Amino acid sequence: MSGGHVRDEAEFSAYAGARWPALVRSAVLLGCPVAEAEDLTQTAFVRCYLAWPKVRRARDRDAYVYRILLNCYRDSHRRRWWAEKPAAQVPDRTEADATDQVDTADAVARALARLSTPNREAVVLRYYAHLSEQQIADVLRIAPGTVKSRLARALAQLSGDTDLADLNGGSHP
Amino acid sequence: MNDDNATRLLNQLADRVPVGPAPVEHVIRSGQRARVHRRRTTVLAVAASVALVLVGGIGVRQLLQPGGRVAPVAGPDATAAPAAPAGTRLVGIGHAAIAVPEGWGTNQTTCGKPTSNTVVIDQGVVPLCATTLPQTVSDVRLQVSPDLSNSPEFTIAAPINIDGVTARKTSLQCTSEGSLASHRYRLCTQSLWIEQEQALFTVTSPHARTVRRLLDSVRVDEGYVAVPLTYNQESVRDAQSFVEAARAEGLQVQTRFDRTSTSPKGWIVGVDPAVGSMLKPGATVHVTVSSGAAPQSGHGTAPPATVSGAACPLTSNVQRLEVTRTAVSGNGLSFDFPRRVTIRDPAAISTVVSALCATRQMPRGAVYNCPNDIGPYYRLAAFDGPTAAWTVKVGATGCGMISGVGHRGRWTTGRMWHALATAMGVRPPTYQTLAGHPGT
Repeated sequence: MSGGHVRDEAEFSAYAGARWPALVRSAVLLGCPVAEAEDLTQTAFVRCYLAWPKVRRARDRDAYVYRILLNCYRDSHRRRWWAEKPAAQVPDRTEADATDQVDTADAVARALARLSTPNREAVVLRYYAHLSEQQIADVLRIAPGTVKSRLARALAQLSGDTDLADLNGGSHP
Repeated sequence: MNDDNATRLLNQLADRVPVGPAPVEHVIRSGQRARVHRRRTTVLAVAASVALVLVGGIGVRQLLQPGGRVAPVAGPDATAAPAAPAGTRLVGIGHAAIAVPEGWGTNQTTCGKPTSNTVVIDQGVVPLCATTLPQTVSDVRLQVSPDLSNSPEFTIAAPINIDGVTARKTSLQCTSEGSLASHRYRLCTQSLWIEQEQALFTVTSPHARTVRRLLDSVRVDEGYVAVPLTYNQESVRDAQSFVEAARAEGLQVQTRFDRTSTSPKGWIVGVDPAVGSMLKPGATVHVTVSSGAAPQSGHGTAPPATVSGAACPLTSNVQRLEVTRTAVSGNGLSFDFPRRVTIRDPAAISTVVSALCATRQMPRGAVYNCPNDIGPYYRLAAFDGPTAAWTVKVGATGCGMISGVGHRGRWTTGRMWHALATAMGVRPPTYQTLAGHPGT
């Protein structure tokens, strides 16, 4: 292996190691079960590895990698949009028990799940991945104005979300 | 809800997601394998072209023929192979392997059709021939297939999980095969594709339960890796591409040269353990490579043709023979016939006619499987005036059928192609047929 390859591989390893948790969690916030999120992130990183020279030259590396992750996510869901989703683990409680032991995370998860996919993507990229509106526009390949409007609509919907309101004793966050 | 609130809430949810360490090493290994598979894919696409039917014949057949001239060199590390289920052996691509009964052979095919229960892997070429054998046996085919995710037959079913890896299966289909009612037979087939390994397993059998049982045996084990399947850009198994692929899989490679091989220099003439064998990373694969010292076959002088006398309806006392190619060049033979050539030399015409007449008739009422019947054909029109005295159509690929020489079809032969090429003034083809080719 040439010195360049070794350097590339070391650089890739460092980058993937540092970004792995955030990308897995982003995939979860987008709606993936944890196992699927890990698979998805792994697939995204394999794609990054294959295109590493391009990724490392990208003007905004993080945005580029998030775009790959989103593409993987959309591909995986587009392929089986109609199919039953196999579950590696049986849910630990049924729908009827959903109101029990409400905590912040569960409430947020339910609130996010109620957002439309485009709005959820914008929210995750903005408020968890901390990408700027311009970066989000690049990742989603939409106009910055569209990012703004999606975020505004998403925040408005979250503000009125009853599960999140429960966290504050009935007052909206 | 403001920006800070949104960030805080998302972080609270994210913090509850347990995330293990990044599997960077696995990602890199997968990436390296994907690179190898990409290379394989490129060249396999070429390998699938009809040109390979002839070009690849020399090297690949020698590689595959069990009991060939090149004796296997030292065996692999005995501890390297994984334990297969009782009575089976494992064969695979990447980390995915299928358990096939021990009694099954490898590449036991004629004209691409199995002649006995067999694994088909690294076949390389589908020989230019026809077979009349209906398939009453089972076969497992292994192919490197990088992306079938958009293929309708694979998207129709939900993904399944095999040892933690996503896989897709087509639906099991059983159909009636054969063009004549009296020769129809039933065949069931199903495929399993594992994207991560870019491995496609296809089982075909008269018995649906055999198909299911075999595909259910597929396992993915990161602890083992298959001896890789590679071709270079010329669809040849050359040592360099093999060594690169094997090393990328973490295998050691020992090379020795064979001075007796008639294959061109650098072509692989033997791999031990065979392609598809499952080994532990770090195990050694022995590869035997042609040194190119022995003269190559396939370019000799054609033996004189014999005229089958009164049985042949073709007349050779014609003024000219017009040969027209019906398809683009380069996809049927390892030489390039011009699009249209007129042969006027009486001796050359006589040689061609003799060679055509010397071809064998196809059996009456046979059922043919022509797996590569997609190439060009040549129209030979003999003129002794303004109109053609006779016209013959010669297929260059697949069954290589000749029509127009009598009422029954015939099979092309190397001798016939050699005579035709010589008469046209082009390089004779590297045309070889497998032993048992019905046209030889």
